[in-house]
Amino acid sequence: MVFSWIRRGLRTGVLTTRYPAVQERLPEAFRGKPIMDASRCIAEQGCNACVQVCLPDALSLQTVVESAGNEATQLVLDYARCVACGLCVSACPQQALRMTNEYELAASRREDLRMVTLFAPPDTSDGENGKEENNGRYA
Amino acid sequence: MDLIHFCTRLSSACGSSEEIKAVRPLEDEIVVSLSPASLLQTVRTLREEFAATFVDLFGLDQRPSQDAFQLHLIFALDNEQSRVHLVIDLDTERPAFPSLMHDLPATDWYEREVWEEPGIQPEGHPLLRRLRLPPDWPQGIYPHRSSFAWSQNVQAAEPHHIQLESAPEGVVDYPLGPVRSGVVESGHYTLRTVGEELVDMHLQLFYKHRGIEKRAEGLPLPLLPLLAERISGASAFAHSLALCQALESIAEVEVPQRALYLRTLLAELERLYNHLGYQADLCQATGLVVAQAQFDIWKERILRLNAAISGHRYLFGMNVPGGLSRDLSEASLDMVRGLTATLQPDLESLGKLLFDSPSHRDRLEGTGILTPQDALAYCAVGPIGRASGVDRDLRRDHPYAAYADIDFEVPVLQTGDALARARVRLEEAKQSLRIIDQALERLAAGSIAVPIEQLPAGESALSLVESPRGESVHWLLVGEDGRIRRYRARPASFANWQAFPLAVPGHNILTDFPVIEQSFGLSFAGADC
Amino acid sequence: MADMLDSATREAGERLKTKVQRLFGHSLHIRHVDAGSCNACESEIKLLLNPYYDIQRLGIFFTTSPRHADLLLVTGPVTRAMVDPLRQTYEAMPDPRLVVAVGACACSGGIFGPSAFSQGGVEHVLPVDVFIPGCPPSPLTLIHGLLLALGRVEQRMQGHTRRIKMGRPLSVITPSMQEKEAQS
Repeated sequence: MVFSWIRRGLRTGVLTTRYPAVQERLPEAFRGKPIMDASRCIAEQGCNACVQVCLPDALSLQTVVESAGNEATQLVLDYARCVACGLCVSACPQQALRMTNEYELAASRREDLRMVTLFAPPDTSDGENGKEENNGRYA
Repeated sequence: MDLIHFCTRLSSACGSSEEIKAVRPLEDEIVVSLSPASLLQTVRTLREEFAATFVDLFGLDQRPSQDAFQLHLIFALDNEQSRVHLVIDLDTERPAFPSLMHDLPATDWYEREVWEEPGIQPEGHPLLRRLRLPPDWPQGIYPHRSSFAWSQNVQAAEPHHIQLESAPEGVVDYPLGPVRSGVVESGHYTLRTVGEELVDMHLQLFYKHRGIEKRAEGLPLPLLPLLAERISGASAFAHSLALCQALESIAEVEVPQRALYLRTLLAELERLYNHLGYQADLCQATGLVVAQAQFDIWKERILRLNAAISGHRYLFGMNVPGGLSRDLSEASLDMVRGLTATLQPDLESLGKLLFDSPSHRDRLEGTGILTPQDALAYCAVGPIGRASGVDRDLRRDHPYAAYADIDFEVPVLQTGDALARARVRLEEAKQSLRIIDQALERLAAGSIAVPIEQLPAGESALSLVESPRGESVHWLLVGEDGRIRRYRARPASFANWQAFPLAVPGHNILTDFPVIEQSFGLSFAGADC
Repeated sequence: MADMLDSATREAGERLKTKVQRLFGHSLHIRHVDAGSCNACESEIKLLLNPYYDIQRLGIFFTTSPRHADLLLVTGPVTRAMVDPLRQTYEAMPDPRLVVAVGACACSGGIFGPSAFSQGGVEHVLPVDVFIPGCPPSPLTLIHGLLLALGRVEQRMQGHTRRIKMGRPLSVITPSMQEKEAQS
């Protein structure tokens, strides 16, 4: 009897992953981590479609007053709260959010899991205005 | 179902036709409104004359829209493929009803729950003690009353733990938990032994009460399945399916055929990985390490298949109200076919090898017997009930999704020991493969969801689903604002845990306990909810 | 990758490394505590011992006694009833000890958040050394997180604040979280 089990075990062969020595890839469809292209986001125009469908409140939108006294819109994506359900990705009318199958998500500080995007009003002090800063780059 | 006969029989049982206030036949469900005075007699008539099986009991606070508390009881009429839903309006000042425990010991925990959460008194209950609420929860604060808000700050009171009477001379109490050996869920057992033999046990669950039913109140529609999935992650698909079915019933929409078949397929995939993981856990308890690894390998393969076809290893996010959130491509279906083709012969040989292994079989045979009488008295559900002679399976008796069109067998054994429970689950895994094959064959092209925009105010619906651990009950009531007013979720484990302490005494020794516990394979998260 | 991490993160990483170097030659004994999870996280943690992942090859083992444990692995949002048992388990562990929060619930309360029933994450009860997000985090994510706790892999997640300057003044006050709460 015991030999039958040993035979089975040996027949199965080696299945073990070599991660972290070798990078593993999860399936394309796997919901790992949502990322955002802030240049497509229209939160400053009053859109909060993603915030409305986020049950754990990982996505949040606030109006903050900066040190200069002017108001800015702050969109926060907090990965510590995110459950990777993907509802925000479908809800966004601008396709600003995309789901990736990334899995190396651990962090030693809570702040490292917070992605903050500040939509600040135009500033005469440093020249460049508009959304060129982040254009097309999801992060 | 002869409705006239049913109503006549019920009214005459109560002695006065006024006690039954109204009967409303819905599709497969008869809603009966009655007064507390006629409750006991009605329940007796239902059980004795109509062979109804007790399913659920819960309370509801109607205020402020109506000035009343309500008690709901649900019974299943398996022969008629329908349900009987008793609704009892209770006095606002002193909401109370006569306890059913004398006739039906299974209602124990349910009555304690309505006593502590909406604050309805079950009169004559022999031992009213806290159930779900934590030891430091203050008296007089009822979470299921309308005045209580989810994010309310509840000050910790002096912790009030349940005190057991001290063991007599020669008897030893072993306390285990809530932090227990291994990577297991939190719960407390007190095992009472005389020498090596187990004579009694006390079960203390509900360390994991997160208040899911309360969380659902006021949530917008697309967020509800996320909550149902996380009642118990291993039965995520079954619970979200039950929730979505209830919403679809309320909205009166018809889910497309393709979605029904895909739901059946995915539900069976969930059952498969659960049953295979269960065998692995049982082999860990009996020390058959290679077998444990073999079953774990299969569980991992199915989880990886789930990730490839749905994006999530545990099938979270698949069910939406109205159907499925995404379709399965031909490539995905081919992956499913590939897996079932390899699993089917392997399961046969693994099963045979497993139950022929003397070391494994010896520890399971005759261990932890739950007699058929006890299983019936405590309304054990699912594979645990079926291993003790309770021949009930919701997929056959109250079919949902595409089960009505699919052939499968329901294995039932009478012995009620750990071996019977393991055998029943292995057989069910084989049947799941049959169901998946048939679902794949009959799958037609088509849409996978119908949209649900609004929910009609004041409507409610019941949905019963056979999760891997048994019968799961979900009931929803829509409020005036079109959002959920009350969500009732009773996972299968809540029913089965009540039966668990009965299987422990009776020629079992202390080292049999892990085997008994693993052979039940119950979920703490499901019970604690 | 290391140069993309800012100084605060690098400092935290260094502190973690120093703590860990006091641990014996990079093997690790883990004590797991379930503080109210839905069981999906536990299922993923148990799978770490299966032949596909086999964390024992990395020198990581599970132990039942907190006295023998180096790392406390916590799942669940920490329900009221589990606050004391969790604290007692942590206090029973000798120094040096690490605490790792597994899953969205343990990191922040997840969909439960802070409420009348749970604390909203382990950090409200114990000091957390590594956060592993996910719902549930897959076994590979768990391996990455545990090795991060041991200082054997690099951290990938980097918090940031990005400024997007608008081409025109903000004309609409965007709804805040409070308004969203009031609507729901």
